[in-house]
Amino acid sequence: MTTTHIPDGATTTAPGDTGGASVGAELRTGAEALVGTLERLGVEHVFGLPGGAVLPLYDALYGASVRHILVRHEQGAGHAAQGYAAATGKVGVCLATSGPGATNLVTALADANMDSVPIVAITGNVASTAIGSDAFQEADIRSISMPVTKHSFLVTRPEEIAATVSSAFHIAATGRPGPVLVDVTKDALVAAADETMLQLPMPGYRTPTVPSPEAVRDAVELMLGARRPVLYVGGGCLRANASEEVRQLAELTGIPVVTTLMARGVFPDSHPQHMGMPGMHGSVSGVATLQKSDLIISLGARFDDRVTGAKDTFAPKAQIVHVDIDPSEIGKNFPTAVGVVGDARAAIAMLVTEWTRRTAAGAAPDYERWIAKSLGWKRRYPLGYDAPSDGALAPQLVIERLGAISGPDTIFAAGVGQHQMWASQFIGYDQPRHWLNSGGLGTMGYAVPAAMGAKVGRPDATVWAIDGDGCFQMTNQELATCSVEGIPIKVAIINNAALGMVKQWQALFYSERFSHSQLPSMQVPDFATLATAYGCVGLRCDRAADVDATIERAMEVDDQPVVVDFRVSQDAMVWPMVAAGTSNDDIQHARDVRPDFGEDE
Amino acid sequence: MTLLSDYPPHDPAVPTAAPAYQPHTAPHDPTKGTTMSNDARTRHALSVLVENNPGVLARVSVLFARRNFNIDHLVVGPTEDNKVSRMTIVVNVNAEQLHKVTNQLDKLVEVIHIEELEDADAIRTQLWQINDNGPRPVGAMAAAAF
Repeated sequence: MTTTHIPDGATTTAPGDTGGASVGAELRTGAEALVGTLERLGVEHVFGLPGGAVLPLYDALYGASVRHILVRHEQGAGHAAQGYAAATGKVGVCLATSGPGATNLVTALADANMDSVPIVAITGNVASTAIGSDAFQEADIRSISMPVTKHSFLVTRPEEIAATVSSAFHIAATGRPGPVLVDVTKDALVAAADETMLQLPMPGYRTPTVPSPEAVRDAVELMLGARRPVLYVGGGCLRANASEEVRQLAELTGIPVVTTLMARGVFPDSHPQHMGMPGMHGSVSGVATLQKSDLIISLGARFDDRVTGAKDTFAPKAQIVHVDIDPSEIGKNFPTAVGVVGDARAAIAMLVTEWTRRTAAGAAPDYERWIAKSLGWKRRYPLGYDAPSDGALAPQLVIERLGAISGPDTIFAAGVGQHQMWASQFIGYDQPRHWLNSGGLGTMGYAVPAAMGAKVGRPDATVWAIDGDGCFQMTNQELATCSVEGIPIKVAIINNAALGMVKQWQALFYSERFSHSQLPSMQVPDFATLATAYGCVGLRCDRAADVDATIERAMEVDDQPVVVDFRVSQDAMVWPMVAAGTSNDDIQHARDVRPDFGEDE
Repeated sequence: MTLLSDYPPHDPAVPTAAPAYQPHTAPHDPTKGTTMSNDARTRHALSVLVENNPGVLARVSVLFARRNFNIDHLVVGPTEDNKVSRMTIVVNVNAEQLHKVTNQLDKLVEVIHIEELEDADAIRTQLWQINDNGPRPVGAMAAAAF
């Protein structure tokens, strides 16, 4: 009766080193079991904010070896966990109470889901006997979070707490990483917990498979036959720690590389084969190399609409080899010639081996003309910017100098908007995990808490948040957390007194009708004074001549957070640009300047 | 008291089962990468084994809504294992969409196994017979629905 069998690699017990039973000791409460599980899993830092439903849990945290960092808003806890996870590769943990505490986490969960960031969110809920009664601070966060998490649990029985929490970590970190929510009722936290169950069975959870050798063989066959191939490197390579393998494959084959916004730093910007970032605000060479190719080798990327532009005109001559850990990504947006399902690191290593075998056996692909062409685009259309017509400070200059002065080991976290694009364009990223941003969901307010999380995870690194004045005001309360908890991040506010990206679109597509995109004054609030009020060092800079000195002063402070208010031109725009809904072929290098791509082969 | 409509309704026009499916013959659109293109939709019946947990039905239906797919019919029932339930889901999609939706379903942690049943039209006819026995829809929604 069966016509289609879904390959069934389900395991009856979740893998991991946590199997077996614990020694019979005196029973602890559910809350103590939860904290004990966090300790057993090696969790060092938790970002959270207490409330009625999680009081038992906070009581158990009192004196525990896990460091709890008290945030000022639960969204900050969520983004901090994301920043922590993105900078370290470990699972980030955030904690909130029931109802509003839990719903405040939703944005961060959705953000982590879009960008495949491994975080675990633990929330309290009202007692299981009160669930459904519209009790005080009751929200059905398990259901609310369903479409924006990899998985979500509601735990009502104390003996399931330990198993559920460790299973949540397992789900968050394995396969395609993502956010997992564990909602625990208050009565389960208080009751005595039998901790003999250490993992949930989860018969339907599939761990990643090894890439099929046949698919790898077919992929290499296509690569050898292609004339104009491109390696399209996405965030999956970052999560899989595959930057060394990407570099090996690129150098072995000579194929030009583009890295997406999520993958900045996976392949060094300084590498001659790097053609830049593709997409709406990518470089001309990055967009053109992807658009004019005849074979796209996608490594952990997902053909987002910001990359492809109008889908019906995207890379019209290209076939697609799609390497992804998530089988549902393959063929989701575009028909795929060869799909390789598996971890990027393993899959790329197999591609390297197969390529070596084939070339040793005499295969000799010829990409010379194509490489020359790509390099020509890169040379002819470099990223750049004009001095602002109003004589004010150029935001691009500020960001360029930040990158130059703070050095290659600095971690940058960006908000969302113009400053994010400039930060991706004018800072060179040569190492992975040094560029954190909200790529998929586009969450304004990501930068400050994410930088905080990154600094907690990587205390020896300099961490700069590059934020807009609009974004900064969404989550700047976390500066108080940074001050009090000794997390000396640095924040550069690119203050143009406008919601810059909105204003840019209004300028280009809405006849300069700047509806509600301009903030009335650069003075309200005065960010330098605000920073001082939060216990940070506040600096201000509005002249190009002072930029270097201001950044150097900020770099000298290492015992306190620093906020620099860079008051920049209101008219600067992000270029190049592929306008939304148009073809990548119509990229504008600067306003109304269309590059000449030369003859198609 | 004024009723918005007479109750019980007078002799409603009995809705008949939807006509047998006729494949669309829309002009071929070479547009790449659309989620809901209309070409060559057929009815498919999926038998899905899921963990018998509270909320699992919501999770499955949220997934269909989230990915912009429509469920024609959905039946949930127990199996001989009380930890496992079976969902029978009838969808009207083309082959590519079926592949996408089963891939997405398969990612759900609580979905244990998926297989496609043969003869989806027969299953749908039987489900229709059960589903058609309830009260007749009355009023504006019914007019819109039929």
